[in-house]
Amino acid sequence: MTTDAAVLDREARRRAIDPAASYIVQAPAGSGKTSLLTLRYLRLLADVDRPEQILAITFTRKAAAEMRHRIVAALELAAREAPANAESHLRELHGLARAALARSRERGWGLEHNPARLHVQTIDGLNHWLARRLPLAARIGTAATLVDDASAMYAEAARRTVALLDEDSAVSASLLRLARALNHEPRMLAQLIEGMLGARELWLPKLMNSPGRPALRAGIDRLLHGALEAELADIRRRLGNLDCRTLFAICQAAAAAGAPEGPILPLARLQDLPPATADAVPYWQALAELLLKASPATDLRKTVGARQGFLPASDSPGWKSIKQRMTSFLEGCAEREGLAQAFAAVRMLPPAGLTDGQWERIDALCDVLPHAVAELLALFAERDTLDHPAVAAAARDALGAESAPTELALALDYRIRHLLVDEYQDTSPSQEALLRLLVAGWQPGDGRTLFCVGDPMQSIYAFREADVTLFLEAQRQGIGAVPLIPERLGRNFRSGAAIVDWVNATFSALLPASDDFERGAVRYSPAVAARPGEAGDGVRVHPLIDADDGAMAAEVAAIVQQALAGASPLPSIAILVRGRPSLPPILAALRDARIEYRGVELESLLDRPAMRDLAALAQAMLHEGNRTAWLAVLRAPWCGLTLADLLQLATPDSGFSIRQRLSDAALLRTVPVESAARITRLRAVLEPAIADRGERSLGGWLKAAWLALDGPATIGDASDIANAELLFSALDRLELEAGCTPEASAIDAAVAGVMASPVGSDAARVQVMTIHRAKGLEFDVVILPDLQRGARATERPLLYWTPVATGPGERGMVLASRTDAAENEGAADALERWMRRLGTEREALELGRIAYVAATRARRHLHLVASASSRQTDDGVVLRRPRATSLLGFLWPALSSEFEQALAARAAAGAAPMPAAAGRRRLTAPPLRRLVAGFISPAPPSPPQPARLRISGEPEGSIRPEFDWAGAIAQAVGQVVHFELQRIAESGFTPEAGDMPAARWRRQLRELGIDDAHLPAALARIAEAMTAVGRSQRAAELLDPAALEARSELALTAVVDGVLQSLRIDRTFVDRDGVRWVIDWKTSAHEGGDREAFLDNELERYRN
Amino acid sequence: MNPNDRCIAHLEAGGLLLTRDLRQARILRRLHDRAQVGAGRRVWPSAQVLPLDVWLALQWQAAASGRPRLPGILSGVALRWLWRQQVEQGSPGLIDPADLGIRARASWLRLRAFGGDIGQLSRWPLTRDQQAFLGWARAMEEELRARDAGDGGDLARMLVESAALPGAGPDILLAGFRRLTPAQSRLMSALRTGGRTVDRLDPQGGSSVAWQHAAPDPETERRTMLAWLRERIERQPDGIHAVVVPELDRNRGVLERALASTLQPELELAGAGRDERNFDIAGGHALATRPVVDAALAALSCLAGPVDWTVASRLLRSEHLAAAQAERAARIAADLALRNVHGQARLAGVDLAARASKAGAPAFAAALSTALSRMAADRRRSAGGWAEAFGAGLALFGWPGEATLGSHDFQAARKFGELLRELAALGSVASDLEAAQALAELRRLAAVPFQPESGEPAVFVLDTFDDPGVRFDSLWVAGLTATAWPRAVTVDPLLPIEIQRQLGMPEVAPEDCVAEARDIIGRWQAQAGALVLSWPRRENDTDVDGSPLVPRDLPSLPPPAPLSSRERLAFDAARLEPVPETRLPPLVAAAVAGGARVLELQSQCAFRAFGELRLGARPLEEPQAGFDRRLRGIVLHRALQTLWNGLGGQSVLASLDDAAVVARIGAAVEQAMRVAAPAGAGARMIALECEWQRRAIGRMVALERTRPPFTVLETERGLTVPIGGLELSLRVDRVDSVGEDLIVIDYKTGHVKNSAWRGARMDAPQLPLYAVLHAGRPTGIAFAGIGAARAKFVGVSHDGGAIDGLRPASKFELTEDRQKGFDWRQITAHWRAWLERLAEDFAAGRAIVDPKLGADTCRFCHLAALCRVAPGVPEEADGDVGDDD
Ligand code: SF4
Repeated sequence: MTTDAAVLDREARRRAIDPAASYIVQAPAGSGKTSLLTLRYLRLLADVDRPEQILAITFTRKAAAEMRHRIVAALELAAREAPANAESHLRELHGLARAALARSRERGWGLEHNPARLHVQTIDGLNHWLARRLPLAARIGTAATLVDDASAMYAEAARRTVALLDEDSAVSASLLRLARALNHEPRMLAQLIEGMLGARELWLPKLMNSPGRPALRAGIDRLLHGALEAELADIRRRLGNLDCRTLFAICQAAAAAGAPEGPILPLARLQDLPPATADAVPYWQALAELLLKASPATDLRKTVGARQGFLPASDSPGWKSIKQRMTSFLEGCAEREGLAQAFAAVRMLPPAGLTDGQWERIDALCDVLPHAVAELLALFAERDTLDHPAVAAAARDALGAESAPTELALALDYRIRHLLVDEYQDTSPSQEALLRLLVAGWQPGDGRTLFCVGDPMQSIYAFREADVTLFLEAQRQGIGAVPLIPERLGRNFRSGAAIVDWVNATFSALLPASDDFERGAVRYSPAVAARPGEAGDGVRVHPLIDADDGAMAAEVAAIVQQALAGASPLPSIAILVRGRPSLPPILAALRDARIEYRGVELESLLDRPAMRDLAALAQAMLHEGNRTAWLAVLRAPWCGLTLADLLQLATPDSGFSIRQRLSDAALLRTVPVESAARITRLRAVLEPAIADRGERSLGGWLKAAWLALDGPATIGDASDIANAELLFSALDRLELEAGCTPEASAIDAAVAGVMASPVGSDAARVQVMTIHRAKGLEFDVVILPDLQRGARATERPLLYWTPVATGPGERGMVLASRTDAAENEGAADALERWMRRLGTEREALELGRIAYVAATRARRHLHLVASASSRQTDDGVVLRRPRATSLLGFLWPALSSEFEQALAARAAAGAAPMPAAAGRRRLTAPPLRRLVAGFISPAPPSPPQPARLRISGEPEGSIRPEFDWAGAIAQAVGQVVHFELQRIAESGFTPEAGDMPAARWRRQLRELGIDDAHLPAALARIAEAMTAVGRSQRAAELLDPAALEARSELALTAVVDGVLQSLRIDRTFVDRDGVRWVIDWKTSAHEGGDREAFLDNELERYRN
Repeated sequence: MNPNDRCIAHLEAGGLLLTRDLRQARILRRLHDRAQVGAGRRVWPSAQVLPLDVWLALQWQAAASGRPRLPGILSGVALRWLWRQQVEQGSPGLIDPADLGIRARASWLRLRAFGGDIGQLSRWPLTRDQQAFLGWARAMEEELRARDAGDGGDLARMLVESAALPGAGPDILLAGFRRLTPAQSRLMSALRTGGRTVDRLDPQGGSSVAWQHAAPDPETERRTMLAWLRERIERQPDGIHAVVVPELDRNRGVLERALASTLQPELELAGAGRDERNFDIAGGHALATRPVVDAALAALSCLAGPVDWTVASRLLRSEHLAAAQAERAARIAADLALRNVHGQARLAGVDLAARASKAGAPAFAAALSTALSRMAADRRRSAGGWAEAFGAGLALFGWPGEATLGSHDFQAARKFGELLRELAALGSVASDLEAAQALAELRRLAAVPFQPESGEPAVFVLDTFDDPGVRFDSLWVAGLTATAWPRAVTVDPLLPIEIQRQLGMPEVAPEDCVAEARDIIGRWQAQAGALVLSWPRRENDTDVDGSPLVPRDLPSLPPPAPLSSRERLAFDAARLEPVPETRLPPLVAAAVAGGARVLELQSQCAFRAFGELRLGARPLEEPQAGFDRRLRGIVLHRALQTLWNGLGGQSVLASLDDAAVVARIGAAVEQAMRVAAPAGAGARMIALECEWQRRAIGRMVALERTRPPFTVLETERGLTVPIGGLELSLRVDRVDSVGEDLIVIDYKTGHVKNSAWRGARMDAPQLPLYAVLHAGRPTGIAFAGIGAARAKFVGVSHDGGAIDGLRPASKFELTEDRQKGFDWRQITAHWRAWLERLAEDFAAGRAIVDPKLGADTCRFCHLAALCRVAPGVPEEADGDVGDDD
C-alpha cells in the first residue's frame, strides 16, 4: 500500500514537470511543493527562447526570494558534476539544472550573472509591473507613490461622499436613504463606506458587472427563490425516512380537540413531509416551531405546552393522551442524529425574494459605492498616491482590452509562455481575474502552459480575500479557456509517521467529506508518511480544566523546557498561536523560565511603554491643546512628576494650556523644589525642540526632542532603541504620504500599526509566531497553546454578497444590504441573517483548515494545549462545550475524551472546582520610575571636522512672497539691458536691422516670464534705457570694446575674511590714464538669483 | 592622473568643464576652489563648471540674441501644460493625464536624444499606448511649430540642426558621462569641427583598494557602512567620501539620522539643525511637505474655497501665518472648538475667520478676511494674475510669519516665492484659469524635491548605481543584491521596443544590463580611493543573494570598530529612581462638575476619573459627518422635556388624537433643534436628525399611551446631592408618579440593560443615585430605551409593577456574582453603600489604575499614556460602550 502510494506519488511528480501540459497540483502539507515548482521551472527553462517567457507568481515576497534562490543554487550546482552517490531526487534536480544551464549558455542568457531575469514575482509586484508596462491602458498615474495603508484616504473619500448628502448631487437621495437605514447616522454611513473602500476589490466588480437595476433585482429574487428551495430539498433529504405520519396524526387529534391557532392547525392538514417549495415554507416553519425550543434554537423540545397549542388536561380530557403521544414522539426524535439540526436549518432559510426595503437599499448602494470609489480615485490623483487595489485594477484594465494578448506581447517584446502559480488556494477573485486575462487567447497545443499548485486544505487567508472555491473550480474546469490536469501528491516528507497518522485520523473525520463549491468546503486528502518516525514521536494533548492564562502559559514553558532538556542536537521549537491576544502570558512565562525565544511581529509598538511615551511626546509637540499628551509628557520617566505635581499644574482647568502653565513662575513656586527644577529643565529642552519643526523631518524632529529629554535612558529594554527608529521612520513615511504634517489620529493609527522589532537572536531555538506566519515552515516540535480562544465577531457591513448555485451550471451573485435599523427591532432580518450564516459557515470551514496548517508544521512532536471550563449542573460538574469559533471547538470531537479524563482525574483528586474564573486579565500599572535629578546623558565623541571654507551667500533678510508684475518687469528689463550692455561691450555699437533688437528683446522677455499683456510696457522701458545708452558719450567710453584689458562679466572667486565669495564684475578695463575701472551696471532692482540652479531645476523636473 | 586633478587642472587652465548634473558641478567647483586656497591664492577667476544642460541653454540664448528668429524655449511649466493638453485631448477619460503628459514628454525627449523621430514609429506595430503617444507627440510637435517654440531638453539637437553652435571658446572637458547620447555626440563632433577642443574624461582600469561585505541585514549594513565611513574620515579629514544607497527616498529619514549620529552627533540635538552639515544627501522630499510651504499651500486652498477641517486646523496651528505668537492660545482654542465631534467637516474661509475671531484671535481673522477679499477666488485670471493674487493673498495672511525663519525654512520659503514666478510663466500658453487650476499647477511645481544646503559636505549620499563622475577618497556601495544588480531592463512603454533597440537606448535588453553593470563596477574601482561593495544577506525576513557581479576575489571587509550612539550611551548610563508619590490632596471644593459621570468613571477605573475630572485630560476629537450621539441625546432630552411639560401626564396624552400628538412632537423637536443645532450644520443633516427624533419620540409616546395612568412630576430637574463627601449636581430626566409608586426615569438612546446597576462597580450609577438620594423616596428606577426601531422600559421597582418591563426587586440580580432575592430596601441600602464608597475614593484622590474589565475598559479610554497601564489585549469585544445622555 505504502509502496503503491510512493509509486503513484512519484509518477504524479514526474508528470507535473511535463513542459507540454497544464496542471493543477494539490500538494498537501510536507509534500515538497517548492521543490516541485523548482523542478518544473528548471525544466521549462530548457524549453523557452528567453527566460522571461516563464512567469512564476508567488504569494509572498519571501516565497519569491526563496524560489529564485533555489533556482540559482541549482544552476550553480549544475556547473559542477553531480556527486556520484547523490539521492535520486538530487540527481533529477541536477539533471534538469544542467539542461537549463546548457540552454542559458547556448542562448547567451547569462543567467548566472543576471538572476533578475528569472521572473518570480508576487501578484502585487506583477500588477505593478504590468501597469508600468501599459500606462495608458491602466488609466492611472504611474509615478504615484504606492502606499500600503491608505485608510486615511478611505476615510476622507468616505467623508467627501457623505458630505454630498447636503449638496445637490446625483447620489444625495441614495445617501439619504442609506443614512435613514443606519439609524439616521451619517457618521455611521461614513464609517461603513470607509470600511467598504478597503475591500472594494471584492464588491466593486459585482456592482460594475451587474445588469441594469430591474434585471439585477429579478436576478437576485430568482437566486433567492432557488436557494430557498435547494435548502428545503436538502432539509428534506436530511430528514430522510422520518415517519411524520405519527406527528400529523397527533396534530389532527389536537386539532379535533380544539387546538388554537398555532403550528398545530397547519400540520394537521398534512399527510407527508411538506414539499421543498417556497409556498410550503409556512408548513416547514410550523414544524420547526412545534419541535424545537425557542432557545437554544437548535435543541429539540422535550415536552410541549400551551404555548404550542397543547391545552391543559383540565380543558378537555383528551389532551392528556395527546400530550403523552407527543412527548413520546419527541423522545423518538431525540434519538435520531442530525434531526434537530435539520429542523433548525428551517429557521435559517433565506427569504424567497427581496423586500422593497431591501431592494431600495441595494439600489442606493449601487449608486453610492461606485461614487465613493470615484471620490477615492480623485483623491489618489490629487495626492499622487495609489493603493494596491488601484494598481491591481489598473493592471486588469490594461489587460482587459480586446487586443490585450497581442498588446502585451508587443509591449513585452515576447510572449509569456509558461505561468506558474504558487499557493493557488489563497488566490482572491481579483487575482484570479488577472490570471484569466493573462491566459486569454491561449490555444490548446500552442506550447503555452499554466501550472497551479497549492493545497485547498491550507487555504487560510479569507481575511485577505482568498477564496478557496477558486481552487476547486480550477480543478474541475481549468482557468479561463485553459484546461488543467489535476494531480494530487500524497507523500508527506516532513512529519513522522505518528503525526501523519494522527492528522489523517483526525482531519478525515473533522473536515468535510466532500468538496462544496459555494460553501468553500474542502474534503480531506490523506497523506502517507515518507519518513519513518522515531520512538516517542507523536501528538500529545495537554488537557487543562478551568485553567487561567497563567497556568496555560506555565504548561507551555514546561513543555519547552522538557523538549530542550538534554536534547542534542537541540530541536527547533515553535509556539504557534492564532492571534496576538494569546501571547502576553506565554511570553511572560518564557521570560520567567529564562527561555530565549525569537519572535517577529509579536507586539505593536504601542504595547511598549517607552514607545507610548514617544507617541505622547509627538502628540504634545504637534498640538499644544492636547492636554492628555502634555500631562503624559510630564509624567513620563524623563520628567517623572508625581500625580500631586500634575494636579497642581492642571488646576484650575482655566483654559490655559499645560504648555503655557509650565512657564508660570508663580505656579512653579507652589510645587516641591525638585519638581520645579524638573519642570524647568523639561521646558528648557522642549521649547527649542518644538521650534525646530521646519528643520527636520517629522521623525527627526521627534528624535531630537527625545534625545534632548534623555529619553533613551528611560527605555526598559535595549530593543527599544530599534523600536524608536521604527517609530521615527513610520512618522517620516506618514508625513511623506500625507504630504504635510499628519493629523493626531493618523499618527496614533500609524504607530499602532507598526510592529515592534523582532526579539531574540536568530540562534534562538524557540520561535513564537502566528499560525498564518508559520505557513510553509516546519519545526521539530510544535506547541499549539490557548486553543480554546475564540475569534471576535465581525461587524455588520453595509453590503453583503455571496455566490449562489441553484442548480448545475446556474450560479449567480446575491447582494443584500444591512437591515434598516428601524425595522425588525434593530436586528438583522431574514436575508441578512442568512447571509451572516453563510459567512459563519465559511469561517467554520476555514477554522478547520487553520487547524490543519497548525498541526502539519510539526516534524516530530505536536503538543496541543487548551483549557476547557467546567460548570456545575444537577448531574454534577460537566464540561462546557468550547466555543465554536475556537480551534478547540473544532477539534473537540477528537479531543473531548482527554478532557473528560482530566475532569474525572480532578474530581478523583478531590480538587475543588475553581470558581467561575473571572476570565479577564486584570490590568495595573507597574510602579513608575524616573531619571534621577540632574541626570545628563553622556555625549558621544565627534569625529574631527576638517577646516572648511565657509561660503558666503547665506541669505539674510525677510521673505516676501509677493509676485507683482511691476517687480517682475523691472527685473526682466534689468536682465535684458544688462545683456545688451555686455553685447555692446563685446562687439561695439553695431547698427542692427530696424526690428532686430526689439525682436530679440521680446523673446528674451518672454523667456523671462513676461506675458503678452505686459510686453509693450517692458519693451518701452528697454528701448528707453538703450536709447539713453546710445546717446551717452560716457557710455560709449565705458563700453568701448577696444579698451585696454577690457573684460565683461568677469567672474571671480575670492577668499575674504576666511569666507569664500563669488564676485561678478560687470565690466572692467584700464583707461588711457592707466586707471582700472570696475563697473557695476545698475539698471534697476536686479537680483540674478542662482540662475544655473534655476535652469537646472527647471530641466531636472521634467527629466525622467 | 586622478580624474579630479585632471578636472582642476583643466579649470585652472581656463577650460570649461561640463558635468552631468548640478551636484557634480558643485563638488568639482569646490575641489577647484580648495586647490586654489591650498596654493595660497586669494582671488582667482571663477571656475567654469556647468551642468551640460545649463550650458546648452546658455548657448541657445546667446545664439538667439543674434538670431531672434530662432525658436524660443518654453518654460517647464508651460511644456507640461501643453503635453497634458495633448494627452487629455488625445485620450479622454484618464484619471491623471498630467502624469502621462510628463511621461510622454520624457519619452519624446529620449527618442530625440537618441536621434529618432516620431515619424519612424509607425514602421513597427504599435501598442495602444504607443499609438496614443504617437498622436500626442504629433500634436505637440505641431503645437511647438505653431508657437515657434522648442523644448529645453532637446537643445543638443536643436543647436546642431539650426546651426546655432557657439564659435570659439575655452576648451571643453566632459566629466561623468559614461556614454553620450547620439544627439550629444553629434553636438560634440560639430563643436570639434567648429574648432573647439572637446575631451571626455573616461577613467578606467584604476586600482582602488576594494572589499566586499555581506551584512546580516540592511540595518547592520548601514551601521557598518557608517562606522567605516567615520574611520575613513578620521584618517582623511580633508577628503571627500560617498556612499551609494538604493531606495534612498524611502530611507531618507533613517539615513539622515544615522549620518548625524555617526558623523556629527551635535546635529542630533534640537536647535542644531542650523549648523553646517558635513554630509549631503541626493534628492530630497517634495518642497510642498516643508511646514512653511505647506502652510502657504494650505492658506491658498483656504483662500480659494472651502477646505477639509484638517487643513483649517493646520492653518490655525501654523507658525507661519499672522499673529502666531500673540494669538497662539486663542488659535489653539479655536482649533479645539473646530475639532468638536459635531464640528464641520469642511469649512469656508469666512467660517474659519469667524471661528478665529470668536476664539479671540482677531488679528488672524482680520488677516484671513483681507486676504480673502484680495483673492476674489471666483474670478478667472491669467496665470500671472493668479501669481500676483496668490502672492498678495499670502502676504496679507501674514505668511511666512513673524518669527525669524530657520535656515532650512528660509530656503524653502524663498524657493516657494520663486515658484510664483514660474507659475506666471504659464501665461505664455494658458490664458484664463480658475483658482483651482492655478493652485493645482502651483502644487505640482511645489512637488519638486527640495534639499536645503548648508556647509561644505565631506560625505555625499548618492542614490543611483552609476558612475559618480567624481573621484571620491572612499566609496561604499550598499544594497548590491542579486535582484538589484544588475538592474532589470527598463523599457520605455511608449516607444516600440524595436526602435529603442535600434537607436541603442541603454538597458533595453538584459544583456546590456549586465554589460552596463560591469562597466559601472569598473568605474567605481577606477575612481575610488577605497571601495566597499556590500549587500544584506536578509531582507524583509527573507534570505537574499548577493549580486553575482561583485567580484568574488575581493577580500572581505575587516569589521570597523563599532560606534556607540547617543541612545546607547544614554541607555547604558541610565540611573532611575522610584517616583516619590505623595498622597493626593483631597478635593478642596466638594462640588465637582460632571454629576453622575464622576461615579461612573470612578467605577470604570479610578485613574480615569482622576485624569478626566481632576486633571481635565481630554482627548482630541475630530469632526464627524452629521449629528453624533451626544448631540442626539441633547436634542432628545430637550424635546421630551418640552413635550411632557406640556402634557403633564397620561390623561392629557390619552385625550389627544394621533394628529395632535404628532404635531406636539414635531413642535417639541423643532424647538429643541433650534437651540441645539450646531452652526454650519447643513439643512438636510438637520432634517434627517429631526426625522429620527420624531420617529423615536413617536414610538416612545405610543408606548407611554399604553401604560397605566401616570403623572409626570418632574422633568429635567436639577438636583444637588451630597454623597461620600462630594456634592454632585444631577439632572433627573423624569420622575413619574404611578399609583403609589414613584419611578425615576432616564432616557437612553442606546442599549438598555438592568445589569448596568449590578455590583459595587456598576456601569451606570445615575439612576441608583437618584433612587438613593431623591427626597421623594422613589420606589423604582427605569431606563426608557428610545430608538428608531423600538421603545421599551427596563428597570427595577419594589414590586415590579408601575411600568411594563420593570423587574420586581426580588428578581433583580444585584451583586457582581448575580445574587438576587433582595427587597427594594436592601437594594437601595447596597447601592448607597457602594456609591458612597466610590464617591469617597474619588474625593480622597485614590487614583489607582484599575480598569473594571481590563483591556476592554481601556479600549475606550484615551489616558493610557498618562496612567501608564500595562499593555493588555482586549478579550471578546461585545461593543458595549457606555451610553451618552
Ligand atoms: S487607560 Fe485603562 S487604566 Fe488607564 S485610565 Fe483609562 S481605563 Fe484606566
